[in-house]
Amino acid sequence: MNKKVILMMMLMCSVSGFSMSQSLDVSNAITTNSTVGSVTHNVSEISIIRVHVNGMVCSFCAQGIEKTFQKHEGVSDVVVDLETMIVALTLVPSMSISDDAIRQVIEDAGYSIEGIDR
Amino acid sequence: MIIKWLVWLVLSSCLVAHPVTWSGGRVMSLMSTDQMTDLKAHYSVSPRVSFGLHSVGFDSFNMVMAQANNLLARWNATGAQANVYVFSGLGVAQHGSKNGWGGHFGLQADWETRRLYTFVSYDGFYHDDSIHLIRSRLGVAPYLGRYDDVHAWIMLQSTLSIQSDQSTWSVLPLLRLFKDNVLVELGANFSSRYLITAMIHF
Repeated sequence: MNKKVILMMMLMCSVSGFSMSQSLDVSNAITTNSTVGSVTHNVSEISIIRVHVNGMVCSFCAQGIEKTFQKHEGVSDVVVDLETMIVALTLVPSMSISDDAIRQVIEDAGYSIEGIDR
Repeated sequence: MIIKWLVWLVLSSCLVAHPVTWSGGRVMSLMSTDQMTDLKAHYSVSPRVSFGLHSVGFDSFNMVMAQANNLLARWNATGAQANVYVFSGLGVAQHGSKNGWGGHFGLQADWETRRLYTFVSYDGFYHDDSIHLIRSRLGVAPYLGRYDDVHAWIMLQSTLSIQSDQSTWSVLPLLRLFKDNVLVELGANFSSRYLITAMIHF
């Protein structure tokens, strides 16, 4: 009986550990290191900005958000999530985009911003 | 580049569009029904104003106009959006062998969530024999797709058409499908009424 309880606890720990690793995958900043000898180099740093958009209920109408951000030199990828109403912007390493610029794009597309997470 | 714009202008000589898109966005749409053919091409100078060409053809007359669409009001809420638009156009109308001035005035209000869609509009096409169209729509999305999926809406459209003190009323079930920047609608009923819409914005 005790063995079963221990096995169940191990299983639950492994599942929760997997969930944590999943949530870490979408953290705001991802850094990849490479080690050559005893020296560690920061080879890339990817920043993701999450923009909470109000009124984004239709993918056909939200095309303008994606198209406009894709033209921005500091943005390498745009992911629109209608479920959470979040636009996730992946920045080009060492580039940035201001909150005002993000707000301008969203408002030019006809939407309003609820918040910006960096 | 010039050919691309020429093709765009030629195609634009007959459309029904998303009234206003994003700043710098262009939209072309074609709507064909048993009563009319409507073609539009518009360029949005801002999220509130677009200008374009509008061609509409009825049994009794045809009209080609320069048109302005204005977003009067928009409400962006968590999980919902509502809009009020006004349309105005002025151009040339052809009625048989006679040519003259023609105009268009329209109002549209809509409210939508990811699951529900409602719409009501008035369009008046003014000429010797003016036509007034009052349309409303109620739609339901049978499933909630992700951004890149094909999205579907099942809708019911009611149309009241008034011309020369005569009016006709029809109800049309229709299916709206869209993916990315392309939208199509197909509808028909058992009274030989039909509707086909195609729209693209870029």
